[in-house]
Amino acid sequence: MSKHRFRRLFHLAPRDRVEIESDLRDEIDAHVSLAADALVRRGVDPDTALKQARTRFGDFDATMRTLAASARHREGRMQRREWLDVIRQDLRYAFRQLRQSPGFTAAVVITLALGIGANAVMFGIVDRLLLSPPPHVRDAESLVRIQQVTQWLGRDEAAGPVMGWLTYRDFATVPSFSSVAAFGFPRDMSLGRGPDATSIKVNAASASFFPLLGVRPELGRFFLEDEDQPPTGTPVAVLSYGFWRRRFAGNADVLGTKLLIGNQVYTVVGVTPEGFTGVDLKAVDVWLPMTALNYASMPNYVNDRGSMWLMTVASLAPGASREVAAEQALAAYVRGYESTKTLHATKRIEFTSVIAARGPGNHNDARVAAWLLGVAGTVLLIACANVATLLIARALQRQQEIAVRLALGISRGRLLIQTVTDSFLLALLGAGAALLTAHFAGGMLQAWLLPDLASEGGFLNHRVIAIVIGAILVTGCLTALGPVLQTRRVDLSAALKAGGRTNSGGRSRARTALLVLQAALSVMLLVGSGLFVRSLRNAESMRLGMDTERLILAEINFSGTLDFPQRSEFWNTALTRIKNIPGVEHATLTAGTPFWLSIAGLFRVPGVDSLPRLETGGPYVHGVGSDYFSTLGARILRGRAFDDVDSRSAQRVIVINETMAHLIFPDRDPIGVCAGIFRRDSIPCATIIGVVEDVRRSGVVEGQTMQYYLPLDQWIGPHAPAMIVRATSDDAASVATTVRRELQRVRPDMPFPNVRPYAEIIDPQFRAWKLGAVMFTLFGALAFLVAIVGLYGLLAYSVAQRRFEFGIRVALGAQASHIVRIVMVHGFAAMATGLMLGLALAALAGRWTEPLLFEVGSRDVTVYFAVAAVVLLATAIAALVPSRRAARTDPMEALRAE
Amino acid sequence: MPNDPVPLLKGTLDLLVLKTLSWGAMHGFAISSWLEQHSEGTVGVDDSALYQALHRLEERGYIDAEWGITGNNRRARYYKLTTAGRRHLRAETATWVRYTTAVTSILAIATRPT
Repeated sequence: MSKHRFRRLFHLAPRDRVEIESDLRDEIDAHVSLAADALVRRGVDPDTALKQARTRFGDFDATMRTLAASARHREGRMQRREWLDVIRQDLRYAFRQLRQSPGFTAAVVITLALGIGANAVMFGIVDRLLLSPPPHVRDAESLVRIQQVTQWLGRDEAAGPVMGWLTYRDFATVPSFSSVAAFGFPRDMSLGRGPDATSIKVNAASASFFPLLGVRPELGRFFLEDEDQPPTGTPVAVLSYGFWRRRFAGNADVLGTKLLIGNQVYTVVGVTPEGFTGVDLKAVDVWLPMTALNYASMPNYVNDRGSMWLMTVASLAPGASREVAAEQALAAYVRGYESTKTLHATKRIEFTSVIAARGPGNHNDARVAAWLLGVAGTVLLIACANVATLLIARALQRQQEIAVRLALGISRGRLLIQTVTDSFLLALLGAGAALLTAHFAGGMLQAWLLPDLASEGGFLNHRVIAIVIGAILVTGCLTALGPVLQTRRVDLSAALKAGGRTNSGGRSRARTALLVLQAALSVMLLVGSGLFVRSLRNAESMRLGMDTERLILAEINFSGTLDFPQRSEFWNTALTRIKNIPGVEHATLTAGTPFWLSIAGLFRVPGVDSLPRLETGGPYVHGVGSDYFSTLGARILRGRAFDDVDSRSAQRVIVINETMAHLIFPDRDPIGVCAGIFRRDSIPCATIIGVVEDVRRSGVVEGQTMQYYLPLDQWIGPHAPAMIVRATSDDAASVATTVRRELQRVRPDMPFPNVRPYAEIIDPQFRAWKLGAVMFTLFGALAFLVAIVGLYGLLAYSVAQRRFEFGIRVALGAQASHIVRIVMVHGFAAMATGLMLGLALAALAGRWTEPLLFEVGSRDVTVYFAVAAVVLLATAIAALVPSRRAARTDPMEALRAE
Repeated sequence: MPNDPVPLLKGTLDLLVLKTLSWGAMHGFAISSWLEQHSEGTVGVDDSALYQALHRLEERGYIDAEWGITGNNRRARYYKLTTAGRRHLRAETATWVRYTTAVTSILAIATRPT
């Protein structure tokens, strides 16, 4: 469109550069002519007069230039003012319209608030996990996490960030790093003793950790290098901000307080700023120097190259390249191993980012969050489609008004601007409501969806706000699309004449298209819902080998408090006491506990050269009390379980699990075979007396694992047992509290006993499916409901529009069923198209869902069928009322209404 | 010679134009003739300067312009004073009078004051 017509469209004064200059020229010419006229009146001849007048005027060109410039400047200002006026007018008009129909406004704002709010919340979570650097870490981009890539013979490469103390010291010698620090995983430790003891989350950090991250203390200071010297370190502690507020009410004189953590007293020297959780995002209450914590739990850690429990983070020296640093790190690592003459399988050293979920081991959380973002995006699309439909409906109602305005001379362009302003205003209101909801609900949702993550720090940051603004723009454009396309086709005379009716067909194609879109998207969500629900049910109905909803795990860290004989005495006393608590059906002690601690064992059988190599490693050994299997609820498949006769002095016996029986003894009965399970050949072999079903070792979803059991009394060497309690009912939580209190009464000086129902320990493993199931079902059902209501509205409108036509049909003798069929077909056509489209989209997107599902294919036929059935049934119900109303059209009334 | 045109001081042209228009709408040439006439030839307006002043005043919103037809059936652009222009004229006139009175009184002192 030429600039000229563009201006005309918006009824703006058509003045461009050429016109301005021609106007000026006209003006000056007029002046000169008038001056010439005056001279002619005084008697000068016309030609001379003209020449004189021109010369008198002065410098023509210079004048033109100055005047033209100032005229252009003026024009620009005027145009801008006009634009602002237009927009202001439209906003006022839009506001008035919205106020006049509060129901409509409320419906739209709520729909948009849901769509935009969901996106804001989900993005906030994704931002936390994938985009934001850890709080209070300065310059996160320049830090790297070190991980080793190992490859054992015959297996694939595996990368892992966990390493041992000596490896960390090796890396600290690498010249390309300006600083290296080590930190651990937060774990529960006991604070205090006896009845007042509580459990806190403790993490270890080297003295170089805090300076490396560039974090400043809120109060006091962090660890000094002197305080982190091997082997013992100095017992000082740094509190987290949240813990400081909760436990010490933010009191500034907390410095110097002594805390009994585990079995060592630590002195508080500082507090970290609010929101700081180190490099990972898991909540921490107290930071302890790495050497001090190591010494407390593993006094021999300085020589131990086998144990791995810490992670390292480093900063590169200025000018150092990553490749060189990686090579140097590998060289240092290999040098360290050379002296010990033990095997290692590290091929190379890799660096990963310090930003949370880009780091190792957090893929599940990140994937879940990314998925939720996709769901939220879909919901926003549905919300936009819905709002666009409502806006079209409103535009249709105002057809006559619009026609009158067009006839009175408003330009279509103005109408366009108005529609768009309308939509953007709604989007803005929706976003405002969304931000409010997100602010309040966001924190709650984050705590529920990703409970491991520390929830300190605000939820709304500038990135989330940017997303909301983006959402407003997208929403505004999308929702305006429908009505705008509609206004272009308004046929003036027909609209004025018909007084509300548009084309004779009465079918609003735009509305139908939007309905199909909504149906397709909600079908997609419903399919997702079905898949995740099935996954969840499959996962929950898996046989774990133990009745987790009734079991409770009790474990206590006695290191440094009691020696091994004292511990045995403690547990035996405790066992008797616990068994007598009402509500407890069984209790047993075990060394090596499901979902808690695995101990690798030996297994040699004559005639079998080597054990099969499994991905899960093994075989793993458990030392168990006599009623272990009945406590767990694990079935004995062959032979028998242990009984009281199998005590210390009797013959050595073991029970193997199903996998071992299947893999090692495929074609003979394992019962009676004598297996060597001890390192010392002098100890006789143990007879296999039974085969038990597979019990999960550490994961709900786990490959085959080889495990075997022997009586705790026959266990050689020291052991740190835990207790498993079986409750009589499914209410394991309250029994757990009783058990804990009872344990605390056994000795007055004991650390905090960690007693938890197994359900609590295992639940996080189901989280991904639970999340998917809940989110998809919630949003899918909502979206589908909205689509069905939209269908009803569309059909009702269509029937009302076609009253005349139906009246004639009835008058001409059409059957009621025939008319019903017409309307039904209309409804089904739309929904069926949406259904097909949605199923196709779901099948395409299925590729990405596969890894998140459990034992369900992403194109599971049952789910697809179920969704199709639901959609068709709902369509039938929604179409019922309008179609029957159509069938009952009274021909006389319909004809008369024309 | 008493009636030779005197070059105008800066800023006074705007004031004169506003005053000229205070009696009604005029086009550029008419303003120029009027000023010459009523100052008995003392004020000689440079036409290009006049048009620059007119456009300047129009930009500031003191005058409005539109095309019209003169008595001789010629097309010309007519300028008229706006409300803001009237206000500005009153204010500037008062300032001018004060200024010139002060200057004149000092220049009129014949003997050196003690």
